[in-house]
Amino acid sequence: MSNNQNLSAWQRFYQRMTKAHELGKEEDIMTDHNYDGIRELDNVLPPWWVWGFVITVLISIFYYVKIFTGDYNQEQEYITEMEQGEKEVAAFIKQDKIDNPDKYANRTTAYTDAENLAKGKDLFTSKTCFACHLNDLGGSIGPNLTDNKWVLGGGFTNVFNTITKGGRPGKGMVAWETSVTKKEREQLTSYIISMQGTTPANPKAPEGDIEWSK
Amino acid sequence: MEKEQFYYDNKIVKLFLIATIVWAIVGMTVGLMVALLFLYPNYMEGISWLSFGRLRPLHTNAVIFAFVGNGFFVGMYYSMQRLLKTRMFSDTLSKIHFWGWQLIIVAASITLPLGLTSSKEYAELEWPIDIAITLIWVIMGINMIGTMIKRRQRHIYVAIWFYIATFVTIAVLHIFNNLEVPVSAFKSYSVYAGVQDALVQWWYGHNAVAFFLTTPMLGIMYYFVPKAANRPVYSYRLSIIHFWSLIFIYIWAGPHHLLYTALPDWAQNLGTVFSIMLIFPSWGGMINGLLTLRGAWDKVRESAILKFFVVAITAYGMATFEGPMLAFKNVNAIAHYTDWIIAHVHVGALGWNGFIIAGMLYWLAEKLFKTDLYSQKLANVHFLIGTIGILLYTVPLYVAGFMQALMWKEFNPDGTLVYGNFLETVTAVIPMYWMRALGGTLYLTGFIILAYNIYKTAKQGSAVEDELAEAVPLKQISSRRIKGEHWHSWLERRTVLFTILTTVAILIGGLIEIVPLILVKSNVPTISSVKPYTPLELEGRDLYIREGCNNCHSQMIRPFRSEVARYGEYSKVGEFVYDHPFLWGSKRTGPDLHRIGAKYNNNWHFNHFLDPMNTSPMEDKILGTSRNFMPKYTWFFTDNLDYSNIQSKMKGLRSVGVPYSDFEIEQAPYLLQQQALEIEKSLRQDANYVANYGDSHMENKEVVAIIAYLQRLGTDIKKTE
Repeated sequence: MSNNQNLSAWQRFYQRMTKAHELGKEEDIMTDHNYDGIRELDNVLPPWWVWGFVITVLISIFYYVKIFTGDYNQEQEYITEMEQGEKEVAAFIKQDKIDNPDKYANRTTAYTDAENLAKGKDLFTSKTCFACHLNDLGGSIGPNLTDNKWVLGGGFTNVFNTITKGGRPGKGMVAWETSVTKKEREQLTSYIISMQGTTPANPKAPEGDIEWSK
Repeated sequence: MEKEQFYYDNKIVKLFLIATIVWAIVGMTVGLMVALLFLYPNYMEGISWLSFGRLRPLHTNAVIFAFVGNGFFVGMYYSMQRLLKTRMFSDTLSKIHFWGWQLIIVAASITLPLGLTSSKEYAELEWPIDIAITLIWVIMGINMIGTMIKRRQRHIYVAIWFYIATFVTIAVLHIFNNLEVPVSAFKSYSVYAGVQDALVQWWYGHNAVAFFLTTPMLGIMYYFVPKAANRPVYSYRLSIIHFWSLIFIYIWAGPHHLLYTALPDWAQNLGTVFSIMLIFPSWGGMINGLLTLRGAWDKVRESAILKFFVVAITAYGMATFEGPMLAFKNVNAIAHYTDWIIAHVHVGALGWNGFIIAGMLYWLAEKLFKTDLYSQKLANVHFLIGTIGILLYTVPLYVAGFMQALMWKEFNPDGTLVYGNFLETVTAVIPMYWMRALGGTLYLTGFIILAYNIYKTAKQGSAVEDELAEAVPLKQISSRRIKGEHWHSWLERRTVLFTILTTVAILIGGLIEIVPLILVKSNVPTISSVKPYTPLELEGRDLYIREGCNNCHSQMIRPFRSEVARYGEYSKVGEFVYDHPFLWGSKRTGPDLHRIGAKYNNNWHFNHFLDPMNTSPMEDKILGTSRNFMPKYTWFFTDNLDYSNIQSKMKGLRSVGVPYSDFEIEQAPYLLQQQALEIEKSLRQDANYVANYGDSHMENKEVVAIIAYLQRLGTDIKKTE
């Protein structure tokens, strides 16, 4: 390496990190290899590469030893995450009960006006209720909603609860409280109640032992 | 000593070159077809052999083994003869290798769309083809080693080291990952179950990337880059260090594909740390390639070939940095199962493999046909649109991957998921899928331009099938001349010993990880309520495998709050002890299915397979329609369930440890029919079913088997409580 004085600090650093042999003077480090005309230089290993390799090996040893001597394991990480989540949710609900008491009041509103029933009808489609209960509520995958037999009880409160919390396990009715607001669930329930007693095109046989009609 | 005259076999190189170009276009076209299924899910509706689950393995296999495989053989047959100063050991073996390999690819292109698959990624081909691959691979190896033995060059060059590593390691990986019990002509079960199968598979899968997509390409780089640039290789000692460290460390890193799964912690963490240690061995190859161009950067401006090489090596460097980052558990928790991984592999496939092969093909076209390239301009156009294609393919998918991960994990303050409906996370990324398809189209167009350019070059030139060369034969070396010889130089003269040492280096990691997992009982705690599948469920599981459901659905719920909230209890290692093969999957285009059992009723599944839109419509804002990526499985409703092999299937599984009793096996057809009738009966509670399918005898159709399997999934564990 020559003329170190004329180089900037960055160039000197670069040279120290790469230690590449100067271009034009390569014959000094040329090996006697000749493979089909391919020659090989024998540049020293670039110091940045050597250090990088050494550091990653050290990090790896440290990581592995630390994990095995420490108390980390996958299951513990999961338990910690769940506890943290539960704590956050509990704190939120505590505050939310103060801020939005209506949401937690054990009070639901049934609607009978045309506007809210129409909203309920729209929701029946947009929230994909029709996929299991059909557009005319005659039932298919899920039960017929127009007859007077109910699996989990008829009437506004029972139907609202079923929509909110879901049906029996394994039957496909999921809990909708996470993706449908309370108001929307009220509108949906009102719409369903309004349809009880109508005659669908292809009614599914009644299911459930609880009898209820308007 | 007199020089000997001999001929290089250029014909075999030319054959592989044609095959490479043909399969490149085929493989990428199939890739584009599956990319389009994300945009127009129904454009091949009702055609079972063109459904996503069957075409995706065809795409990956065609690109890996047909395109990159043949590309490697082009470079290997050309460079090996010249580096060893001899013709290949046997022309007959060369020909058997060529035609055998092409036949295997043709067999793959037929069997994979037919649904004949073992389901293990990049090892999907069924057992007769596995055997053919082994035979052809060994023939190639004999030819390679024979050529080394009759060489006229005293030492073997670094490119040859990488070819040796490729041959040895792929042989070992292929054989041990495909150990399976055949139960019929095209059906077999992996001898490993559950977590053991998963570890062996990803030991294979990861190292297929290492030793089929990396080491052969490094060999090619070491020959063609110094040739094309007319520059000496930057550092011989760097070659030595990075070769041995790369092959030794790579083999350990497989478990990083199974982070946060039911694989024991000790194995997962080995995968992580060996991935981190892999950065610099990988980069050793990159800098030795790039710095070989030192002093030749002016040529890079001029030459399309060198441009391809520079981008290829840079893409290699990026992908091999990104890989270890993805092996950190906290990064993996975000990226796994998302489109981030699809982007990551395409940086490697399109950038590194595709471009280094393209550069090599252009360079070889001039040499093989003794003429100038037909059009430098077209080669530059290929480079340009190929590069834009790579960016347009990968960048949007990185975005998509982040979006998916964030949406899957986002909670409302009250502890419910913000995107409780998985479909919302799918519709959100549709714009990225459009850009990906556009990027892929550009990249494919580039290769069509390459095909045209090379065809024209061949037309204007004249192929020399046997190229005259001369060299001095090797003679006994005097001990005076090798006094003070460097130890590695000594090793480079002993090809057999070199091959043996390579084998040792690549065996260590695999042995240390896999053997304890199979032998040490505490690694797989048993759960007493977990029982083997019933005959009907087993047939349903085989349909799941046939349709390639695992290409879009995982069966591995990770221990995260967000996954437990969405899917249910996280997956335990003891739940998979009868799963031959494992079906954990690696991508969630659809939701995880491990706890799908008993979530919905049978009618839900029936209607869902009939048309997923029935139960799960999804809004596509770009095309303004509703759609669902999942195909309609119309053939489940028309095809009778073929259970003629059920007894040999159960016997096969019993031979690898699934405790079916004699009675169960003997009564299997009867038990199967009974369960099918029960499911059919349960479907009848839906008036619409009775009206439309009441007389269709669905108890005989495939749909009842797949329903039976899905309803069983992940339910055994609940029986303990």
